[in-house]
Amino acid sequence: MAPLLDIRNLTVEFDTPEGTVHAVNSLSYSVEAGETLGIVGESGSGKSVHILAMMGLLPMPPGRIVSGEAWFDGQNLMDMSDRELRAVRGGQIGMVFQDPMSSLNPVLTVGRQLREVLVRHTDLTGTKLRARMIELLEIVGIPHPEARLDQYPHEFSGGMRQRVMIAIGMACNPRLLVADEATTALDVTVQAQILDLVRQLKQDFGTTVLWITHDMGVVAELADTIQVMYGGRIMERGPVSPVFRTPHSAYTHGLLKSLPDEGARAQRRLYQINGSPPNMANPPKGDPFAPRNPYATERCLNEVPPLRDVGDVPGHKVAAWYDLPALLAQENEVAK
Amino acid sequence: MTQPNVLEAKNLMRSFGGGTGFFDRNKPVIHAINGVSFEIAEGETLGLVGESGSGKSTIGRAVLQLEKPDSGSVKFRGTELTTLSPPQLKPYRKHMQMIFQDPYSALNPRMKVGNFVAEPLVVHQVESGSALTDRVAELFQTVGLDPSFMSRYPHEFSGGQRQRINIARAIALNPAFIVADEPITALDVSIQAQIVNLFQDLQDQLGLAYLFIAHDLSMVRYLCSRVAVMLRGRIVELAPTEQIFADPRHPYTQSLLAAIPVPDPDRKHRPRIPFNVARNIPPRDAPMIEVSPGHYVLDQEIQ
Repeated sequence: MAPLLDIRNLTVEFDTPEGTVHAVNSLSYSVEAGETLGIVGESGSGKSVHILAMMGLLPMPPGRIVSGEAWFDGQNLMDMSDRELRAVRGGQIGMVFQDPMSSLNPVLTVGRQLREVLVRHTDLTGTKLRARMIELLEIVGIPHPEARLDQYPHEFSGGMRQRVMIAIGMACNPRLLVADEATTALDVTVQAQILDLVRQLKQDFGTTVLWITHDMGVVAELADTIQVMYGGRIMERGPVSPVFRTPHSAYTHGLLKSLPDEGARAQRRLYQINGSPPNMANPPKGDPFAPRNPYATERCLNEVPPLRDVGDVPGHKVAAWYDLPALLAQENEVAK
Repeated sequence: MTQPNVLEAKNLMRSFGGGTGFFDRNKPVIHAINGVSFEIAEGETLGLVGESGSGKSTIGRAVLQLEKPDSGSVKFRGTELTTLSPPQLKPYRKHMQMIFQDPYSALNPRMKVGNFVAEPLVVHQVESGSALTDRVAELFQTVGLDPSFMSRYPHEFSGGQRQRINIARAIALNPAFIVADEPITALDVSIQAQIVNLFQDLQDQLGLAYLFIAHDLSMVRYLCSRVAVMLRGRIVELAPTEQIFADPRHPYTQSLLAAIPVPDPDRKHRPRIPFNVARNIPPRDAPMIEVSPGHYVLDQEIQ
C-alpha cells in the first residue's frame, strides 16, 4: 500500500544577513495511513520548517524550497497552486499550531471561524452546519458549546482555545492531522485531556497523525513511530518501543538519558549533552551532532552519514557512522 | 530540617481588579494568592507547581517584595520585609534574586553582557575598577562561560548561554535565596540538563536556597526537596517530594501526577484521574492539616 504522506528529498534554505541557513537537508520520510508519527527535535532541527514548506506556508523570501516533493494521497503538494493548497489545508490535512492566541482571529467569534472552515471544505448549510459546529466543540470537550460559539477567543482560557484549534483542525475529518507543539504551552492536566482526545479521534476516524514535540513523554504516550531530527536531518527513526529501549543515535540516547528519572535522582546528577545546537548558517561539515557527540569518530566530523537500517527491528533506522549499542556495551564492560 | 529558615511567608494575600474608578467598578476581584504560607530552609529547594494562573509567579514576586502583597508577612532570616521602606529594603535585596523564564527578554540588548553581570555589583557599590572586572570574570567561569565573552552583546549567544548570563548576574551579590520562575522552560531540551546541573552545583558551592517555580513535574521531582501544589491562589498540598509522589492526598495533586507523560512507550495507557477545578475552588477559610510529618493537605470538601 502506498503511504498517505511521502516526503522526498526536501531541502529548504533561508537567506539571512548571516548567510544561507540550511534549515532542512535532503529530508525523506513517509507516513502510512492510520499511523501516528511523533517527530522530536529542538530549535534548528527543521521539524517545523519542513511542515510549513510542505503546506505552502513558508514565508518566501526569506525561505526557499531548493528541491523536494511531498506526495499526499497521490498528489505532489509542491506542484499545487495556492488555490489548490488552500483546498487541502483545513480539509484533508488539518493543522494545529502551538500558539492558539495568534492562530485564531481575535475579532471574529469562535463560531464564525469554525464556520469558515466548514463552508470552505464541506457542503453543510443552515441548521446542519450549526449542528456540526456544536458537535465539534462537544467532541473536543468544551462545555456549553452552543453558548461558546458566539464568544470571542479572548473569552476562552488557553486550554479551551487550544481545544478550539483542534476542533478547527479536525472540522472536516481530515485524513492527516499535523500538530506542531500543540500542547507545549498547556498545563499537564489539559495536555493529558488533549492527548486522550487525539487518541479517541484516531480510534473513531482512523486519522493519521503527525505530532511534533520536544517532549519524549508525549511521544511515548501518543506515537507508533518516533523520528528524531537534528540539524535539518533525521538522526533516528523507528517503532517507539525499540527506539526508546535501544537507541542507536547518540543524540536520541542523550535525550533519553538526560531525563530526570530514578537513576538521576539517586545520583543527584543529570546526564547532560554538552555544547549548543548547531548554527545552521554555518552547519557542521559531517554528522550535525558530531561536535557534541562523545562517541564521534573522525569520519562523523567530515562526512554526513546516510540513514541506514539498524537490522534487528523492521523500520528502525539510524544516521550514524558508529555502532552505539556496541560502544555502550564496551563502556559497561570497562565499568565492571 | 535542622537548617534554620531563610524565608518564611505567612498568609500572603494579593488580589487584582475590583477598582473604585468609573471603568473598574464592575471588574471582578481576582484573588491571585489567597492565604499562602510556607517556609524555605537555608540551602533548600522548594518546588512550586500548579495550573497556569494559579498564582505561582505572583508568589515569587511577593516574597521578593517586587510586588507588595495586600496582607501577610514575609520574613528573610527573621526580619519582616513587608513593613520596610524601599531604602530600608535595599540591603535585603542583595540576598534575594530572581531568574526569569525568558533569557532573551531579561537581557538588555544594547549592553555588553559583562556590564550586565557587573551592574548589581556597581549599584550596591560592592566592587569597582579591576576588582570588579576580576569578579565578573570569576562569575563567568562559575556559570561555565569563557570570561573572554564579557565584551560581547546578548545576540551573539545561544539560549542556554543567555540563561547562564542571567544566572551569573543573579549570583553576583552572593545571594542566599533565588526565585527561579520557569528557568528552563524556554530552553532546548538538550540544554535543560546543563542548566539544572548548574543550579545544583551553585547550590552546593554557595549554599543557595531556591524557590523553583515550574510546570515540569519530573524536573521538580528531581530537583526539589519539598513541593507545594497550588490551585486557584491557594496551596492545596505541601510535602517532602517523595512523599507527595508516593502518596498524594489532595484530588488535584492526584490528577496532576496522573497527567505527567511518562517517557516509556510500554506504560502509555495509564488511567487518568479527572478533577473539576471549576467546581472545587479551594475555600479561603479551609485549614491545612498535617497528615504525616511535614505533609500538609488543604482540608477541603471535594464535590
